[in-house]
Amino acid sequence: MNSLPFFIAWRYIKGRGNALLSLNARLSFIGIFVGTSLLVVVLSIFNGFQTQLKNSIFKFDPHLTLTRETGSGPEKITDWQAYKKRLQERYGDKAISIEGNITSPAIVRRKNTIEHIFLRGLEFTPAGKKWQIPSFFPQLVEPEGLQEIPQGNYCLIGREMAVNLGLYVGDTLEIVVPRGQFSLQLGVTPSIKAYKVAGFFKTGHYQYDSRVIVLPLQEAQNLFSVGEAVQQINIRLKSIEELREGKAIALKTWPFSIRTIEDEQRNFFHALQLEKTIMTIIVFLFVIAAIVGIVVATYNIVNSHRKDIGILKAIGVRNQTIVAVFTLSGFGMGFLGTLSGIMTGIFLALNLENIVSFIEKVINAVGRYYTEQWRDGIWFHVSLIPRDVYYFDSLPIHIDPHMLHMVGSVAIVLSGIAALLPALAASRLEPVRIIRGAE
Amino acid sequence: MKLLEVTNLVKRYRDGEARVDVIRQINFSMNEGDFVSIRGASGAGKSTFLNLLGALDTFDEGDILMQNKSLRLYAKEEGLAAYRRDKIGFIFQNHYLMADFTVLENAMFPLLIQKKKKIEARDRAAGILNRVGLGHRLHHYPSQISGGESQRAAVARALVHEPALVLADEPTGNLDAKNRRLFIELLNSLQQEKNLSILVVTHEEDLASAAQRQYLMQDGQLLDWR
Ligand SMILES: Nc1ncnc2c1ncn2[C@@H]1O[C@H](COP(=O)(O)OP(=O)(O)OP(=O)(O)O)[C@@H](O)[C@H]1O
Ligand SMILES: [Mg+2]
Repeated sequence: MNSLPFFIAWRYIKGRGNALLSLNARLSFIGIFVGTSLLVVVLSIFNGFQTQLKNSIFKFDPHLTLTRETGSGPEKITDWQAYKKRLQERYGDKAISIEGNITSPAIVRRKNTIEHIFLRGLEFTPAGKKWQIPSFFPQLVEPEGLQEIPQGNYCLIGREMAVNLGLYVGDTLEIVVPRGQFSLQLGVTPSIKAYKVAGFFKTGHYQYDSRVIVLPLQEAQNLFSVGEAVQQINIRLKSIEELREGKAIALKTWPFSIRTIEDEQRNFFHALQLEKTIMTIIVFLFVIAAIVGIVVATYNIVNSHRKDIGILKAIGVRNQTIVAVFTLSGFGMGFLGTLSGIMTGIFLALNLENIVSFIEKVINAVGRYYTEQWRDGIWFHVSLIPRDVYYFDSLPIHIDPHMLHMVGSVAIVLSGIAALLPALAASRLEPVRIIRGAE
Repeated sequence: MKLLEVTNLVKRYRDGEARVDVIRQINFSMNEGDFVSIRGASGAGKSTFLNLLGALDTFDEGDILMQNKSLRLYAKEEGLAAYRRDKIGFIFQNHYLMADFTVLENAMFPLLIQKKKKIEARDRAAGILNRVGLGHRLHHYPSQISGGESQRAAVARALVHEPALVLADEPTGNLDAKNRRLFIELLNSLQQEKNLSILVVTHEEDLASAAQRQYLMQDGQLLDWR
C-alpha cells in the first residue's frame, strides 16, 4: 500500500502547522460530529422507552391466553388441571410457566371511594402457612423484595393505586365481584370480601400499577365462589420471538379460543412498529445530511487545492492516487467526526438525566429572574420531562451496541463513498490548464 | 549521448472550424548535459513546446523520443505519469509550491512519488535545499518565505530526483533584477556541477544568453538564434 495518499490527505484534513483541523475539514467534521452524537442520544432514548414498555408489559401479561368463549363471555374451566398437565408435556422447556388464572373486572371500595379495577388470581405456590410469589411476578417495591404473603385474605396492589387511594401496607380494602361467574350479568349476586394489603408492586406500566389487584388463585376462587374452576389458562414462553410457534403448539391441545399478547396489545405493538419506522426515517435523514456535508466539504478541499492537483500531476502523480487522496480526505473527516460523535453521544446519553436537570435549572433561574425583576410577574416552574406525564423513575436510556455499530459504519462508509465523486472530479483536472493559469 | 530527439512535431488547436497549428513541424535534439534556451515573442508557442516535451500535453503529429524511447510507447506501457515522474523536472514561472507542506516536504515529493523511503527522501531533499541556499528554511511554509526563495525551492524540487531533463518555463518571470541574477548564477553552477540537461524558455536576454545553445521560436517553428 502506497502511503503517499495518506500523507497528503491527512495534511489536507489537519491543515498546516499546529492547526487542529483545516477550515474545510472543521466544517464537515462538526456536521458529522453533531449528527452522530445527537443520533446516538435520540436512538438511545427511543430504545430505552421501547425496552421499558416491553419489559413492563411482558413481565405482567401472559404471552398466550387460552379461554373458552361463549356468547355471553368466558366460561368457567373446571378441568383445567388436566389441560395444564397436557400442555406442560407438549411445551417442555419452551414455556416458562403454564398457569390457571382468573382475570376479571371488579369493584374496590375503600372508605367512601369506589374504583373499578381488574382482579387477577395467579397461581401462588403454598409454602407452609404462606403463599410463595411466583418468579415472573413484577418487582415488589413495598415491602422491598417481598417473597411471600400470608395465606388468607391478603392481596397485592399496584404502587399507583396505593398512592391514588391513600393505602399503606396492612390497610384494608373491600373487593366486590359477581358470585359464581366472571362477568357482570343481569341478576347476579355480588360477593364482597375485605382484604389486607400485603404489598405494592410496580410494573412500570401506569395502567397496571393503578388498576390491578392480585390475589393468590385459591383466594380468588373463594371470592368468586367458583370452586376449583379458572377463567383462563396462561402460558409464558421462553422466547417472546416465538409467539407464532408457541401458539401452534397450544392449538393441538386447546380446541377453543387462543389469544396472543399481540392480539391483546394490538395498539401497543402498532406503536412500537411506528416508533421503529420513525427511527428509520431519522437515521435516513441523518445519512442524507452526512452525505451532503461530506460531498460539499470534499469539493471545497478539491477546489482549494486545484494548484496542488496540477503540480502533483505535473511531477508524476497518477490519477488513481489523486482519487485516493481526496477520497481519503472525505473518509478521514467522516471517520474522525463519527468516532468522536459516537463517544460524545454515549457520554451525553449516560448523563442525560443530569444534563436535562441542569438545563431545567438554568431555564428556571433565568426565567424567574426575568419575570420577577423585569416583568413583576410570577414564574411557574418549568419541568422539561414532567414526571406525571412520563411514568418512570429515571429517563429510560438504552445504548444498544448494535445501533452504535450501525450508525458508525454507515456514517464512515458513506463518507468514503460521498467523497468519491469530488475525488473523481479532481483527478480529471488537466494539469496543463492549471499551470497555464486557465483554471 | 543523445538525450532527446524531436521529429516533425505538430500541435494543433481546433477552434470550431478553424485549425491553428501552434507547433509546426519542429525538428530538435538535445544531448546529455546540454543547456538550451528558447526565446520568442508572446504567443509563439514556447510554453506549448515545453509542455509537449514534459508530456503535460499531447501532440498531433511527429514524435518525441526520450533516451530513444517514444512518448507514444511510454503512454502505452508505464504511462505518461511515470515518464514525468522519472524523466522530467519542471520549473514554472510561479513556483507552485504546495501551501500545506513545508519547504522540505515540497522538495521531498518527487522522491515520495517514486516510492523512495521517507528517510532517504528527507536526506536528499535537505541536501539539495542546502545547496540552493535554503538550509535555514526547511521547516517554513511557502507563505513564510520570499519570492526568490520560493523559486529556489522550486529548483530544488525539480532537481531532487535527478531527472534526465529539466524544463523551465520563464523561471525568472516573477523575480526582480537582483533575484534574477542570483537565480541565473545558481542555475549555471548547478548545471556545470551536476552536468544537467536543461531546456529553458524565456523572454529575458540574460537568462537566454547563459545557455550554450540558443534558439528562437517564431510562429511555431524553431530557428537558430542569430
Ligand atoms: N488551449 C488552447 N486552445 C487554443 N489555443 C491555445 C491554447 N493554448 C494555447 N493556445 C495558443 O497557442 C499559442 C501559443 O501559446 P504559448 O502559451 O505556447 O505561447 P508562448 O510562446 O508560451 O507565449 P508567452 O511568451 O506569452 O508565454 C498562442 O497563440 C495561444 O493562444
Ligand atoms: Mg509561455
